[in-house]
Parts: sequence; C-alpha cells; structure tokens
Amino acid sequence: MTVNVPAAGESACTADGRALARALTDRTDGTVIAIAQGLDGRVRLKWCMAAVGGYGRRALCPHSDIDLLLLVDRRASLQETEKALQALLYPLWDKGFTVGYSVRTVKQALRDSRDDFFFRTALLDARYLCGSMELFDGLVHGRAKESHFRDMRKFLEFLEAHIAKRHARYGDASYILEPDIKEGNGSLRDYHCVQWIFKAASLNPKAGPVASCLSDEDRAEIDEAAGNLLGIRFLLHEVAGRKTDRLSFEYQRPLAERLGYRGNGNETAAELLMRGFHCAALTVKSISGSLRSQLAVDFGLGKRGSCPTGPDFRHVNGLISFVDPGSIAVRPELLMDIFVLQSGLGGVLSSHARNVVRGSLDLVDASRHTDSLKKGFIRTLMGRHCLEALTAMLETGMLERFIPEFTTIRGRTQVDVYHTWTVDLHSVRTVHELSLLGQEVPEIFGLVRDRDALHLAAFLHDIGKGYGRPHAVIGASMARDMAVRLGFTEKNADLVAFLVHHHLLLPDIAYRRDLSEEKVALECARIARDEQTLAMLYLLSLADSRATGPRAWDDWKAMLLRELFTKSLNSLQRGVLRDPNTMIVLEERWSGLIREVQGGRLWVLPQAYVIHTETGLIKRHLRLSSGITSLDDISLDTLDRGGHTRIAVITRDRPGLFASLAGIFAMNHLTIVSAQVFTWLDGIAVDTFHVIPPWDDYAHWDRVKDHFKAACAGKLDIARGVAETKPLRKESAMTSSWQPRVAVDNAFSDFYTLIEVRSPGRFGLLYRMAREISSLGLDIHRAFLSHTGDPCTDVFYVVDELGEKITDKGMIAKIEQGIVHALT
Amino acid sequence: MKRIEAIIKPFKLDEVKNELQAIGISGMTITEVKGHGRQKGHKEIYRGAEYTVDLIAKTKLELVVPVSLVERVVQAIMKSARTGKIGDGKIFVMPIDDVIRIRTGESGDEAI
Repeated sequence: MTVNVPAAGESACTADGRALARALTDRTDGTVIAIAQGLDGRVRLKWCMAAVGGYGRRALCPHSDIDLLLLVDRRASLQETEKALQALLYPLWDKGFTVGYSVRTVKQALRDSRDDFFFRTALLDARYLCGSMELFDGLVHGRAKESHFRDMRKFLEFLEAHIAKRHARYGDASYILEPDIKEGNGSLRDYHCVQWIFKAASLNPKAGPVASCLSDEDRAEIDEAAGNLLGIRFLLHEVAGRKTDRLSFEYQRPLAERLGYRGNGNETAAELLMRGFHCAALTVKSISGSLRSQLAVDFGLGKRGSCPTGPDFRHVNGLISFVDPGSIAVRPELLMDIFVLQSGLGGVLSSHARNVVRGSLDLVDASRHTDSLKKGFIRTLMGRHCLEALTAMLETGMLERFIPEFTTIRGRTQVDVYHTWTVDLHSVRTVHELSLLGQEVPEIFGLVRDRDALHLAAFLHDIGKGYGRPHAVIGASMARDMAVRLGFTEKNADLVAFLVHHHLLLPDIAYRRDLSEEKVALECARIARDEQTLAMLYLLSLADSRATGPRAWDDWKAMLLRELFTKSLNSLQRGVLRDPNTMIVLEERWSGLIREVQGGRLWVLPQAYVIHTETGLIKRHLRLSSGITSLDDISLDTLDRGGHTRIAVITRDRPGLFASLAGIFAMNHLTIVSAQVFTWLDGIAVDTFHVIPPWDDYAHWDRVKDHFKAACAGKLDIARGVAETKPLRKESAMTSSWQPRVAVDNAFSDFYTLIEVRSPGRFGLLYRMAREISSLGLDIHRAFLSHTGDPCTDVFYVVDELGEKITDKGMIAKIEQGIVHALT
Repeated sequence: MKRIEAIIKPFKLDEVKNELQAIGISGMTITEVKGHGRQKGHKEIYRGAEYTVDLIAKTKLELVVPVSLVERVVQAIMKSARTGKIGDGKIFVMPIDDVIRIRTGESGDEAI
C-alpha cells in the first residue's frame, strides 16, 4: 500500500491520519460491501451489516482489525445465519483481513451492551454498511431509548474507571520514551473517549451543556493532534509490517525518515519525531483530561468538598478555578499563584482555568521579574503536590514562558536503556521524588538548610541537555544565571550551579570506584566540601535516579550509593576533614601541588598525608622518594629544629617497618617525641619523627642508616639490640608506676581500626608497642604519636593482613592484653 | 563446553569486560547480585546509629565457552578483577552438556 506523505517541512512533519484512515476505510468498505451484497438471494433472512469500533469510526490503520456486527432478524434460523456468516467471513479471511465479528439481533445487541461497557462504546461507533436499513434504524432508535445509554452520570463513571485502569497499565504517552499510541494517557483512546462522551450526550437531550464544555479552539486542537497521532499509528503499521501500537525505539528512526524528518546538529530525526509525538499526545491528554474533570464536577462524580483558598481561587471537588479571571490583567501574579495553590493542595485546573492561563501567557513576559512571581515559582517547586502543579505548568505553556531556557528540553527524547521519560518530565519528576524523600529520609534532609537551592537544582539539573557539550557543565552556568534571576543570593546561586555541575558525581564514583578505599570517600567529601552540600548531592542523586526509570534504580545501586554517602559523610563529621579550616588548607595545598609538580605522581598521596604535611615538604618527599626502589633503599631527611630534630624516613613499606625504626632509634638513644606515619598509595612509607638526640650537635645519622641496612640484610637483631641498650638517664619511678590503657575503636573510621594507647613514658616503649602490633599480624597504616609528656598518647590506624578492620571480639581482647603486657 | 560463572567487585566490571573482549569473548550475562563469602558484611555508623550491612553488592558474570578457551578466560578474569584485597570474588567452572541456538537450531560449539 502506498501513502502520500506531506513533503518534509522544517520542524513538524505530520501525516494527516484522518485522511489516510478514511481512504483505507473507504477501500475496505468497498470490499466488504461487495462481498456482503452477494448474500442476497443466497440466504433467506433479513440482515444488516454494520461497522463498529475503529472501523465504525473510519479510523482504520493497515493492520487494524475489521470489526463487524451482523444484525439479523429475530426470526432468522441458526442454519441460515451460519450460512450467511460463512459466505461473509471466508472471502474476507482469504483477502488477509483480521476480522472481529458478532451476530446479534437488535434486541440482543441492546441487552448485551448493558453489561459490557466495551460493546456499548462499540455500538456508539456503529456505522451502516449494507443490508436492511430497518434493522440498523432499530438499533439507533433503541440506543436512544435505553437508559444505560442515556444516563450520563453512570456512563461517565464507567468510563473513568476504565480510563484509570488503562492509564495505570500503559503509562503517560505524552512523556514515555517508547509510548503506546493507542492505549497510553494522551493516546488515541483518550480521543475516542471524548468522541464517545459527545455521542452519548447527543442521545440525551438533558445532557445539553456537555457540548459547551469544550471550546471550539480546544475542539479543533484535539482533532488535529489526534489526527497526527493516527497518522503516526498508520505509518507505524506500515513500517513494522504488522499490528503494533508501541512506538518502540527500533521503529522511531524508519518512521521519522518515512515522515520526512531530517536530523539537525542537536537532534536526530527520530528525536524530532518523538518531540512532535509527545506534544500531540500532551494536547490530547490535557484537553481530554480537563474536559473529563469538568464533567466529573458537573455530574457530581468523585470526592466532594472544597478547600480554603483565599479570595482569588475556588477549589471545589478537586477542581481549581479563578474567581475573577478578569483581574489577571492587573494582577498577573495570579497566573503563578494558581500553581502555588495546586502545589500545596493538589487537584487539577478546570478546563476554563487552563484556557485562561494559556490565553494570558503574554502577561508573563512583562511580569517575569517581579518578586511575587519568582517567590511563587520557588514555592511551587517546594510543595507536596509539585508533580501535579509543575506538570500543569508544563502543559499550559506557563513553565516555558516563565523559564524560556526550558524550551530546549521540552518534549526532548533521550535514547538509552535507562530513561523512561522525556527530559522535561524527568526534570519535574526529579523535584517530585525530592519531595517524597523529604518524608522518607528526614534525617538526611535535616542536614540541608538551603532547601530552595536543592529543589531548584533538582528542577534544573538537566537544563544543559541539547547543546552537544557535557550537559552538567553547560547546565551549571545556565542554572547559575537562572538562580540569580529568581532572586537567589550570589552564594546560593553558586550552590545551585555547583549541584547541577556535580549531579552525577556520587553515582559515577559509587558504581565505578572501590568504596573500600579511604581515598575514594575522602575525594568525594573533598569535592562536596561540607555536610550540607554532600547531603544535597546525595538527595539529588537519589531523586534523579528514581525519576529516570526502573532500570536506572534498584536496591543494589541504592546500596552502593548509600555506602559512599555514609563513608564520605563520616569523614566530614568525624574524620580528618571535620574541621572546615582543614578543607581550606587542603584545597590550597592541592592546587599548589597541581601547579608546581610535574610528572603525574600526585595520585600516590593520601589525603591524610597532604593535610598533615606542608606543600614544600611534600615536594621534597616526592623528590627523595624517586630513588627508592629496593627494600633496603632508605632516605633520611633530617632538620635541626633546636632542641629536637625532625627526621623523615622514606623507604618501601613492609610489615614491621615502624617497629624496626622505633627500635633502631631506641638503640641510638634518640628519644621519640612525636611521630606521623603514612603509607603512600604506591607502597612508599613516609614516617616523620621528632626526636631528641642524646646530646647537642648529634651527627651519627649514618649509624642509623647502617643499622637499618643491616636489619634489612638480616644482620641486626633489633630486639636484642634494644634489650641491651641501657637508658642514658635513670627513669623516674613515678612515671612508670601506673598501668597503660589500651582502647580499640572501630567507630571512628570506616576504613581502619584505631588503637589508642595511653602509657607512662619509658625507654623503648614505642618499639615494644609497635612490635607487639606487628606480631599480631596487623598493618600500621598511619600513626600519630605524642611523647612530650606523661602520659604518652599514641594512636595507630591498623588493618589486618587482608586489609579489613578488626571486628572479632577475641582478637580485640588479644590486642588490648598484648599491648598492656608488652608495656609492663 | 564449560560454563564460567564469576562473582566480582562491581567497579571491576568494565575492566573485566574489556579484558574478555580483548580475547574475543563478547557474549555474557551480567547480573547485579548480593551476597557474602569470607568477606563479612560491615557496620555503617551513621549519625550515631549503627546499620549492619550483611550482604555485599557484587556483580555476577556468566558465559559459556569451548573447553579450549576456558584457561584464557579464567586468566583474563583473574587478571582484571584482582585488587589483592578481600572480596575479590570467585570463579566457578562447570560442565555444559549442550547449547542450542533457538533461532537456527544449531548446537554445540557453533551455537555459543
């Protein structure tokens, strides 16, 4: 079958579905009537052939069923009826038609339509084809007399029940990326419902006002939109070569080409087709939806009652309307206030109110910058029913008019396996998910003070889509401008921009990086900078993922995202980053290092090391470490600080390293005052000690080095060496009189077990402690020691040989007892 | 023919897939799974409250290969999924009686 498709225009390429379907229907009529007329003379009964359903409406598509109703006289015999049926159906089947048929008397048809709602609507579409006109008239007159056709209220009730079920099953065709053209919300079926309502109303003289519920403009608009949908369905059947009503990705491109769409730099032909489709479906959805809600009020369906709304609006039976639409000209803020009201209380706009808003959009241009509109918009974003309100804003065109940047993502398709909705509705749904999260995880929302910034960021997070560059980056600068325009402070506008820029940060890290690495959580915390921003990013990620579609979100992903958030939050609340000044210092150091260090070795530096080491020293350590390759390579970097000496030991890390160093210092009478121990990510250990040399001008550092090399070669028994070394001064009895205290803490860090030791200062103490820890099979990753007074306090960050924290109770007890024993 | 099932750390999936592609394996089934072996779950401390996470998020790969490729596939997964730390996962190799491609009816190695 060939179809004339209109030539490709610049933007909208549509096929006039009504003309296509009518032409096909007429051809089919010809075939059916020719066959049916052959009945005369062959069977002895009075019959009438009527087209019902889509065929009755003259809306056939190439692979539609041909729905026929054969009306027979009540005196017709079974045998004759069967003969008639065979004579009709066999030729139709032979011609390849899929025929749906029923045989009934007029009385049966009217009776069956009482209980079967679908059959009732099929009869509303009945169209005479051929045969006895008298029988067909009987059906038409019977319809007008039967109460179930005349009772508008009952009819609407049934209709609403079916519509609700259908919409729940097929979803919203005006936003879904692979929509059902026939059954979704905003699909052809919703247009049929409008037609049925008018047909049913025409049977009942008392239902007169129904027709006036739809303005002539609305009527023309919905007719045209439904015609476009029908055109797409018609061509879809041709392209697919079978009956299918789901506009799935595989057919979108061939269909777009068929319709003459040409892709441009930003959007492919298929995306342009879908944008046009979604707009048409939206028109059908909006106009049919507000007609039905208006009728629901007029016929007293559904919940009754009104909400307090102030003097400007009415909110009756869930339908919102203006009290005095005329006042909008002088008070354009009412155009926004009606959505503020809807966002707070729920409900839908009356069809009149929708038309008033659509007709007054020009007023928005002049009043866009007034405070009342800006504040009203933010309140709409934050309301409990923001989904309904923002969707209504979208559908009336208010949203695009108020935020012109929104036009680019309006009805925009995103072709991937994850997204279910177009970009505009995805944005609206993200705000909606955020308001749900407010109730689900109030403890995380508690961390957020600037909630308006969070809601605006959720609304704008994808605003940069459609410009060809990374959408988060371009979106951030657009979002910043919009936030300023909406009256946000510079600081909060920056925050909105930051959130938009980084809205994929957490998911990117959570699914692609090793969350058992402390570096990963710290990196995330460092980018977020503070608890509020981190919580905002987390909530934004959750809302964004949940609004994307079922394939983008599940338990498994939730688990990884939550783990990253918790660990990052903990490092901000309790860990090395808890002091806001630390964050500033850290930022300065990193930017200095990135500027000044070439060669790309910066990745080896752990955050904790950078926090505790000045930039100059880090650069020095990097230089010194470049010569360290084998296990006995060691670099000693000493600096006399007057009274004590700072020694940085740089070597390859190994089990027991710290204990060996502590032992060698003890053998050389170097009293350790404090120490910081770090392991770089490439396995280099950088241990910085502050020691008091036994005398001024101490210069035997080479001896320390020799001891180390000897120990590496297995030629030095450090344990014996320490035991045989006598302290230069006698230790006072007082300081060594009390028992050391050891505490094992697993709560402070998500990555390490902390061992805190308070003990009286004694010669060789550190060595014995470190040796005990090593002999228990623990790995010291970091240590902070302070031996300036009595008691000495030492903190060791350890993991077991598998890199795990120590959680076994027996092992914890063993550590505590072992260290106490080693020190006494 | 053998069926190879590997449980790996989620963030290693891309590396493993690349490594398998490099030796010419492109067909596999990937599932997001939860479970635990020697690596126990962990405790998360969040605002003072403790949450126990018993099951750990992992990714499961399943593929069927001719016997001649088993060793290379196992090596490729080992190489790319290893971090050296606990929880790197396991690889199971199981015998397969036959494979039939439904569309064409081909069976055996041809149908893999």
